[in-house]
Amino acid sequence: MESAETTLARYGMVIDLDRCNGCGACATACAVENNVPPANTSATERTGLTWLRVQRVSNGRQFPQNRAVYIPISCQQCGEHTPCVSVCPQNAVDVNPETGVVSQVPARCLGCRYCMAACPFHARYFNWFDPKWPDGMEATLNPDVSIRMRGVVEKCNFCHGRWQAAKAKAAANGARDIDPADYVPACVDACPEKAITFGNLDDPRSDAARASKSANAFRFLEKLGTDPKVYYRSDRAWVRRLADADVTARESEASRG
Amino acid sequence: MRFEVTRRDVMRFAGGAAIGAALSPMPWTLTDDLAIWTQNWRWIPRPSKGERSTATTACALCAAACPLEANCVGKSPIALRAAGGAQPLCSLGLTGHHLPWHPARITRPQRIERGAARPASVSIEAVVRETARAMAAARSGSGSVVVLDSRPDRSGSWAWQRLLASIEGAVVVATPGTEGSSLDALDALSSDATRLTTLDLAGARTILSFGAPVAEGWGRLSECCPGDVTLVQVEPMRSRSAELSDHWLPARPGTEGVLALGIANTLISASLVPSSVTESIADFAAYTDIVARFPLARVAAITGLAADDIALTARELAANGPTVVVAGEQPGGGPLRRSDRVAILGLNALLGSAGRIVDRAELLSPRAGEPLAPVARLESLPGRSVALLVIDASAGDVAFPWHVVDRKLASSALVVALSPYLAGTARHADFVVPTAPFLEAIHEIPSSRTEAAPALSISAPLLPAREGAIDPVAFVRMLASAGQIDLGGDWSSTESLARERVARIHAAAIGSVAQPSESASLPVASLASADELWDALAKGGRWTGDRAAANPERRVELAAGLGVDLTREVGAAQASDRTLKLVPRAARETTLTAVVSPVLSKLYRESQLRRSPGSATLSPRTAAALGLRNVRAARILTAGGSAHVSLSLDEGVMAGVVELTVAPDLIALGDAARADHRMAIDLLTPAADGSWSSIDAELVEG
Amino acid sequence: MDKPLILRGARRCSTKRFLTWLAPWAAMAVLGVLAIGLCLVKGLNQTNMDNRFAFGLWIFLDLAVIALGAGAFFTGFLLYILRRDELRAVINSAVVIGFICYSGAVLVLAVDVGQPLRAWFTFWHPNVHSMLTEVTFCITVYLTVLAIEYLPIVLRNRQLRKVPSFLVFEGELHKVMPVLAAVGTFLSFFHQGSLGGLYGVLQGRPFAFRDGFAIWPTTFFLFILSAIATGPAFVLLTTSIVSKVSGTRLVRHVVYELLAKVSGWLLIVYVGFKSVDTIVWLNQTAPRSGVNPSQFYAWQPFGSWVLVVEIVILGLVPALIFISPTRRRSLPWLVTASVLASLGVATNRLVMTIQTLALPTFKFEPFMTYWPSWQEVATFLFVIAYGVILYSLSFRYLRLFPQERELQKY
Repeated sequence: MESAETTLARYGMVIDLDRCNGCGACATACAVENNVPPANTSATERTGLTWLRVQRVSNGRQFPQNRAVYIPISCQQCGEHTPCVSVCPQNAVDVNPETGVVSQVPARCLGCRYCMAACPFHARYFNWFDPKWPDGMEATLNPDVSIRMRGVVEKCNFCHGRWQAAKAKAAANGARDIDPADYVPACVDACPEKAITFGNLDDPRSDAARASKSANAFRFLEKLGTDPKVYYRSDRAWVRRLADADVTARESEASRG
Repeated sequence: MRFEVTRRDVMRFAGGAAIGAALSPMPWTLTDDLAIWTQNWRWIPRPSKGERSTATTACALCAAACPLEANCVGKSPIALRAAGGAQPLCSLGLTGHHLPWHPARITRPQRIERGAARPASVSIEAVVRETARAMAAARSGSGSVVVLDSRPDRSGSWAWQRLLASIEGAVVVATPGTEGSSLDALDALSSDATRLTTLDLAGARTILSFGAPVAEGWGRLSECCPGDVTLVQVEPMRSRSAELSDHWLPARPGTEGVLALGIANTLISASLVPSSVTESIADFAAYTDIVARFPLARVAAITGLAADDIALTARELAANGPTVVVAGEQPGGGPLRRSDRVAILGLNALLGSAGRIVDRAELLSPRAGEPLAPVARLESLPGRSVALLVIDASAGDVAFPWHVVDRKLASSALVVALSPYLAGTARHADFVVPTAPFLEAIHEIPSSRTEAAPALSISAPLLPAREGAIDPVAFVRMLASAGQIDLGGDWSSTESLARERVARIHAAAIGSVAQPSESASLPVASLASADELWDALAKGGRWTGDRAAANPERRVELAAGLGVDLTREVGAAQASDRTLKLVPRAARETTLTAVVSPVLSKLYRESQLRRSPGSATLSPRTAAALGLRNVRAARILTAGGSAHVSLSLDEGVMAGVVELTVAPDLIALGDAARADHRMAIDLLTPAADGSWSSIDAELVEG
Repeated sequence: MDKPLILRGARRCSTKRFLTWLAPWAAMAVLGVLAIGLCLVKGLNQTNMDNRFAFGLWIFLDLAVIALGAGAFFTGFLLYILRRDELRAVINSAVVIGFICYSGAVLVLAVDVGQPLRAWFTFWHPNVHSMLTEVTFCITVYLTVLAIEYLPIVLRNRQLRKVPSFLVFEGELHKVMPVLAAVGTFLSFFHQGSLGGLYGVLQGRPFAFRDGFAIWPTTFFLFILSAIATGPAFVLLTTSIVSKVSGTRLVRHVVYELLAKVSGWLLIVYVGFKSVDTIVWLNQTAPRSGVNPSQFYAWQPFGSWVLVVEIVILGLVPALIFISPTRRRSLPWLVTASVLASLGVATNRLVMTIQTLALPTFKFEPFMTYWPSWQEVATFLFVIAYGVILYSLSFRYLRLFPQERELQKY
């Protein structure tokens, strides 16, 4: 059996928030790669589909000391107690044991949105509208990714289509494992600042594994115990402080001015 | 025999049938089919299948001409990415393959009648006839003919110059706000004003940028200055370049020139200007006199910066040379005021980088020795003098307030635009001629004004041109034949002219071609034929010629170009307590095209990463002072008119400033055009010198 | 006109008056049908729900009506299992109300999901770890049970009784009632609990997340307790309203008193457990998730007053009224307490649904707000209109209150 020979991986990424300048190329590349439709005219930032959204967060200080950090947030691919997996009533969400990636099966999804309520990262998006591209633009769609219908939930899957292509390539070459260079999600590819390091966190030789253990690396909402596989890093203390949910810290900071 | 059917029989039959049907596979199949149907709604688009291939070409969406690789399915690009090891594409480039299908795309000539609800299709013959008539009238003295060129130095630009050569007073003008146009103030510094000059940025260790979006691709800085460059950004807002800079100087909008003079003051008074440099400045004494009027304390008060910061910056600039000082165009904001630019660019001479003010080496034209209409500056044209305005937006658009051009138009002027889209500047035209967008036709990307060396990229089409698209050069030919103007030669399309130019470059055997997948450049002299050079360019290569040699003997005049407003009084009191400085805001790439992919809604409508079209932002303190703390809908008033804006508050905005998002507008993002649609950028009333980077505005509730 | 159908021996208004009573409810229902149609055809963009407020008014409605509908199973349990025969006086009405609540909830759920045609996938590809699977299974089965319990009430209608086989069938059904009541009780305990579990298991939402016993978070038990405590109170409330509206005495006061007593003591137990749970949650569970519990109540209008209102004013106060023998003798007191208790369970469900989603999880997020669209409100009103209409018809034509005829003699 082919899959039995494949080494199990635990893919993850490390995003350097000191490098990100909020250009949005990652979010754009993601939408192009995964056939995420443009916004309906009545869609807002709360009804849109942004598998990867870049959140601008300010340090709250006055001009010109005001500084912003841009935080790209996608599915954090929780490894433990994955909140969305256990709640789905019909097994439309599961974790791929080969990659550790949390996947969503749109054709199975009922659209109950329980998984969205469960996700603390707000990384899941519901298709409030029919997917629609301007006439003719369907020709630009990626044939490796199927289009989701209205009424189902979707989210980042670390570019599953690219992983499959890499696997097919490895199989064609008779290789046991995929070449890490062949499997790079679109956002990682697109970042002009090379702020995102992607790889197998279980492979100590991978850059991602090393970066995830570096000083000043952190994860958001770690105390929830969901073991996210998306790490962040920043040398700025105020940015790292954003990781915890504890709001009182922010309030006392603000009162200090 | 007789059958008698009783009511009971019917009921039994019906009951039996119902039970039978329920036990049959039918209901289950039906349920299943219904579920399957929900996965296959006919209105859900399906990606087309087909043979996969890749193709390389150059991105034609901005002057950077990034080499790109397209993943194609059945010859149709489905994804674009940087080719070879090139810098990854921006959001606009990543979605460039969407643009041929943009909802604003037109494939038939349009007539836009003032007051009409929607434009009407007309024949190309009608457009040619009307345009030729206006041309003939201009010849007989009704006014001048002007072509606005959004990307000068293309073959198409040459064709316009060739056509207009026979019309007296007709000129080609770079579209206001075109990248690098700020550098034209350099010409004023040079004692020999006949030569076009530019700045040589290569090898700089420190860059002092006044508003230029250097981190967003302006001026190809990443190419000229590899390695560690210290970037000092002067800009009133925290733009992406300010974000990435090593040092950010948030000078109040409109005080950039004063800051430059303050830096000059420090350099001179601290004796940081070597004597060799003072000798190259023809009017050093006069300049010193002017600069002396700007001591640090005064400059600090005017610019809102700390005196120590300015002094420190000046020392850094002197110590960490070579230093280049650039004045750029804030995205959507166009160039700074002319006198400010003179003050800023003059710092180059003072910092000993006079040698970096170089003659701009010219790019070979497609054909040699033919009569050409001159290239002029829009500001130099008298008001209300233009009878025929042609907007050539076939190679891209530049966001600028229409008033800059409008005040030059005669009352009965005809405006004809060439554009693939009924969007952007083309919406101001009477007629719009549909041209082929990026990826559907040959596009040339010549070096921009920011480059010291001539360069050329060719964006080869990956898609067949849609029926109805008209080649701009072919349109020039049509006008010539309608106006009975003999243009000579047998060139008839952009491609034929572009090939002629490539053949000339090949024949001259100058420069080399950098290819995306190769590390070493290919010298033109090593190429056997012009076709080989063409192929190298069409696959994403960029030809670069020889840069003009620095001229250490050059003498400059720094005082002459400083405007009255700068030398006499600056930072005048605000008109009233309610007056704000209006600063346009946009991402660079969105100001260089008429349309962007609707998928960019991910950055606008679907997230809060970029501010929505037409939204205004101010600091909470300013809002509180104006009584707008809890106001979400406001009206913004300028000398150019008023508009409704959605108001948001952000501590990152300078006090007394309102930032207005000017690009992209809703049409550019793919929304249907509304009759009352007004572009936010048109609110910006240009100053007398044609700049609109900071103007006065008021905000009121409602 | 419909006289032959009307319950024998019951005082009922004229047909005209009855139709006039139904007309506004019917209009409300028509509006609801329109809204439901819009949501099914055009999609859920017709609502004001969004990616952050994935649940809204409808889920709150489902939770609230299912909690209030608990009167059906719990009265059945008291009557058939614990043999409190006094409750025979209200069991039929309780069953009808239960049926209305559950069928209304299922209907709204069908509109609320993005792909109603795939609803059966839960049975085909069930995820046994999901509380929602349990809820779906139990509610579907229990709704069937309720329908079967409803059937004999329908069959006892004056005209339908004339069909001999119906009468036989009804008699047979009657014999299995205790079995159905037992099944209903079992199912209800589970799905009421699982509805609480829905929130209690949300590890990523510290406001909802609770520790628990075995696989069940404390909300599992609290939802059961609050539902069985409020169910009888809601039966009391509806009975008294019907009595008032129809102008007839329907049950003896002792029935009210019994319902109140049951409700009262269960509420006492609930309030006790809820208080302990709240203390443990605020001091243990939430801090372990990296949250300062004070932030739960840092955003208005969901301040800590919500906690006081929910537990004390809408929990402890009605409980004390109910368990006081003197207060129990006064119907106005009982009605007041029933209203408070019903509002209490609704507040609890509202808080669990809306506040859970409104609270930010990231430090840099704002508190979210949500206001339902008219389509959501109209769908909500549809369920109410449907309930009123179905109950009115049942009350007019079926014997919901066996003591009614007797009481009219006096």
